[in-house]
Amino acid sequence: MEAFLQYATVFSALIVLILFGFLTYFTLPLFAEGQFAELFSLHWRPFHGEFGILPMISGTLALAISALLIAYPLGLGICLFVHGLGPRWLARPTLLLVHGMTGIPTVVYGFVAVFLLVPLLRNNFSHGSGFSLLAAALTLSILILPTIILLINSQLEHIVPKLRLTTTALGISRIHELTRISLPAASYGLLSAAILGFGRAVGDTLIALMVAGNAAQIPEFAFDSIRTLTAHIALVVATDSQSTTYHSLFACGLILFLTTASVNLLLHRIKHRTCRETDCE
Amino acid sequence: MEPTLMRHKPFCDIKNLHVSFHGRTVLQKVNLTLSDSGILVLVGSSGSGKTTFLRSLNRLNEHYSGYSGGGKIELKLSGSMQDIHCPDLEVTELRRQVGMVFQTPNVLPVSIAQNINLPLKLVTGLDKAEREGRLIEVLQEVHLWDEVKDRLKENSARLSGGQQQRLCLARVLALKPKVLLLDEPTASLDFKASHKIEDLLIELQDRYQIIAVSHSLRQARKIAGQILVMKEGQIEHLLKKDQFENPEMLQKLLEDIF
Repeated sequence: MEAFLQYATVFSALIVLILFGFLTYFTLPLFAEGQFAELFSLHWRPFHGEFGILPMISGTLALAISALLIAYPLGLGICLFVHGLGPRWLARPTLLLVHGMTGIPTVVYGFVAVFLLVPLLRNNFSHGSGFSLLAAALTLSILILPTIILLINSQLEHIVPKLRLTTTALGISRIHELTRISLPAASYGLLSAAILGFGRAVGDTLIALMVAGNAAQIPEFAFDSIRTLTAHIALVVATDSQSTTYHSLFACGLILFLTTASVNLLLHRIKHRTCRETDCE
Repeated sequence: MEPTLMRHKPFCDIKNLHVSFHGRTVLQKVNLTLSDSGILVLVGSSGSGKTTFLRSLNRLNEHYSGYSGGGKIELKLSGSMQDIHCPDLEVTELRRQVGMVFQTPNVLPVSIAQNINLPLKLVTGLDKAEREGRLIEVLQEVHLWDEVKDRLKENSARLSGGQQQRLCLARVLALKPKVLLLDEPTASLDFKASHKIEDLLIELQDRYQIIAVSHSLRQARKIAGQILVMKEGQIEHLLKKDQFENPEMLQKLLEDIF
């Protein structure tokens, strides 16, 4: 059994390394052919020989950050609601609902957004088609909401019950207990929820593809149509499989890979540091 | 029966107190007038309602699910007898005035200083200078100051069990309570640490009205000014000092009761 687990570990690690090597290998021709600078240009016009992926990078960042800005406060609020700001009988159903949300396929969110949210934006604001950064950010925030809630909740679940009796007996109000004692003690959960939420938002393909409009431009405005790295890869792969266009995709892949890897490394480091400070196991 | 002891003025008057959880009766028909005669120690077999009685006095039973109860409890707070269920008395203010220390030390997951500082700030809103003064005062009061004065910023979880319990006591004292409720405060401590806490409680008895649950007759005899014997959710006896000074007498009395 132990040997099997060891093989499995080595195998998984190897796959990640191979993936990294593969992405780097295919990105290399771009360096060799001196097209690297072009990669970071502002324009994606493959028929004019311009392969700038900066619009996609900025689109990805804009979308992930705005989705996080919407989902994080909402998730934190729901966690506080569940842990004592709301009525006790509503806590369990709320968490069950959130758990249920994790099982909904992404395409459902995308579909609902295309038929409900996009027309709503189009009809109420006279800016473009409705397929926009805003529409994608709203939809994506729903997608990453359970990740954020469950991560914060999993730590509050350990902290709050131990503290509640103590703080109640001391005459400390519920809101003070949560904001001044429990949340600071849950700093690892709070940070990891933000980081993982961001990671999920960066990695999601379908919602951006369906709702964001896919125009390869630097977003300046919430109603601008944007294209993310993930959606870009999906779109180009579906239509092209050669030339520099194709190679530029590996650069996109590499960036995504490095982003996810950094997210995980960051998480690991934070856990390590938080544990050292708070004597946790 | 309705035991009364009028050596000094009464500090606690209870009429027809009853408590149940999920329909199961834990306390019934408790009628009691307690007077200030040193530390009151509650004894009784487990399940006799000692802890529930204690929690009635700071309304902490209401924190548990399935609670239902009634009756009237008056406590001497800030000079006069007050109905603890009176709507004018905020429950958080009641709990500040009726401090509680639990069986196992329950330090907050913050530094030693913050364990006292934070509740003080949140409950009383005192400014920083006043809080610092109070911190030193209460740590000295529980004889912890010399042990922790150089490590106030350290995580409180690093203290020993006995130190943690004294820190919990200091945290409650910092809020200037009138009544102290102690639920088997030495149950999780070793012999030496228990003795320290006991000596401390004897020192504090003139400044605070102390009510403690104890599982040890030795401890009860050592610290008690009066002993309240509970059985099956009711008050069985209120023993005065002369009735339990002799250990054999106390032993025999308790054997008769149980």
